[in-house]
Amino acid sequence: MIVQRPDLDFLALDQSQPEKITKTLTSYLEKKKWDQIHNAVLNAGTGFVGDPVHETSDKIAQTIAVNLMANIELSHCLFPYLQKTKGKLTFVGSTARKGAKNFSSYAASKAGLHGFARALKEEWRNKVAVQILHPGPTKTDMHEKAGLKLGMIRHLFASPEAVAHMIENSMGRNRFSTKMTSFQYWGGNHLLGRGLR
Amino acid sequence: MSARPSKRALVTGGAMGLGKALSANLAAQGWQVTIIDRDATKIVEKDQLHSIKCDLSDPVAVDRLIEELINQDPFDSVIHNAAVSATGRFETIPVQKYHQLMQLNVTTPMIISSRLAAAGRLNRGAHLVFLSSLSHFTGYPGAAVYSASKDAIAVYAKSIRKPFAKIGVTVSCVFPGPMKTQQAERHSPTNADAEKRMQPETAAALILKSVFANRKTILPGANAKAFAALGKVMPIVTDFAMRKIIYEKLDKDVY
Repeated sequence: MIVQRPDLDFLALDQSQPEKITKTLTSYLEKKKWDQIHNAVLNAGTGFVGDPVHETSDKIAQTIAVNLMANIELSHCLFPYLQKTKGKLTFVGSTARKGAKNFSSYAASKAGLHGFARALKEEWRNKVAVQILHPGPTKTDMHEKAGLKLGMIRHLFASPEAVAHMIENSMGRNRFSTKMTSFQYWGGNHLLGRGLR
Repeated sequence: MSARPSKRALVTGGAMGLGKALSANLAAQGWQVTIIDRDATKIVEKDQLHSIKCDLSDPVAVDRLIEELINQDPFDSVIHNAAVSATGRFETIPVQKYHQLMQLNVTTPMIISSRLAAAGRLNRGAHLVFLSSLSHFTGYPGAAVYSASKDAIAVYAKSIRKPFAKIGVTVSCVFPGPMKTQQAERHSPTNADAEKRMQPETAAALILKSVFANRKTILPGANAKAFAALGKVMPIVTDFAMRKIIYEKLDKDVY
């Protein structure tokens, strides 16, 4: 699944156990002798689809742990490294942050992430830049893993490569929050490398 | 008001502050109230007030509590009031405190709601109430994880509204501003003016009136409504104001 390149390192970490991540990450950074970081993108997320009346305790706890607590824990750990370069911390949220009836705990976790980023942006002003990007549905296997059968509509979704391109484009900008829907994708925004609204 | 004597309510964090005021108000209207709190000793048990001691930030204790609640009669009202805050610089507060905060403010109310609903322990016509915060309408520098938790619970309440309506349960979300409680006192900057804060009893009366009128979004008081409107229209101004008024005046970390 992962492309091997000499300039890319991979750490296998499970975000559903946030406490363990920072330990591994810190010892990795020590080993690499990195005492500063310019950019960090916190992208990992999970979600389950279904009637919230029947959502199990485990699924709720896992969604909040992976999408919210792990990112809080990582931000805490990365702050000293980012502060040294006046770097940038980018969170990947979701357009579902406004609410989604069959994706309730996922929507809640992404709303929480937005609120967290918004507060942090003010707290870290002139120290570390904080931004959050909200992609719309993306052509990944996340929907199937979450239990959603999409059919033909899946073809309208932006590809992961296109979303990565839009994220990269937005990271170079100073906008705090950016929405990246399929409409914008099909409107040619990523092809033109134009500013995304 | 539609309250009848035999109705049962569950209020979390009912030993102090707003939770105590909500419980007292419901009991005065003839409700049977079960209060969940880690400080259950502070609750004076009466005919209509019963308490269960539980630390809602402990997932194992919450699991045991739910088993106990499922074996009881169904509820007509569940009010998720219990919450903690953590104020100060985000990076100087121990991360373990954030785990407890998120468990208590977000994961526990979500789990209790779905488990009670799935087990048929919410009567048709029941009210499910989540307590968010006025911070949902602005950024809250100085309480980054608290504001994250309150945004998460607000959007959870919004998301489950329609699915829960199918089983006859009305979901409301409350966005109270600062109140005259011990908790608000502890987390405010030193020398902050407490006189402008709302009394919990006043807030409780306004909240319950709106809950029983099936309001989805509840902003108790004119100040809360005005601030929420300002936050929606001028988010950059409110973020800046919160930084100046609260974050830059915080002289200590409280968690």
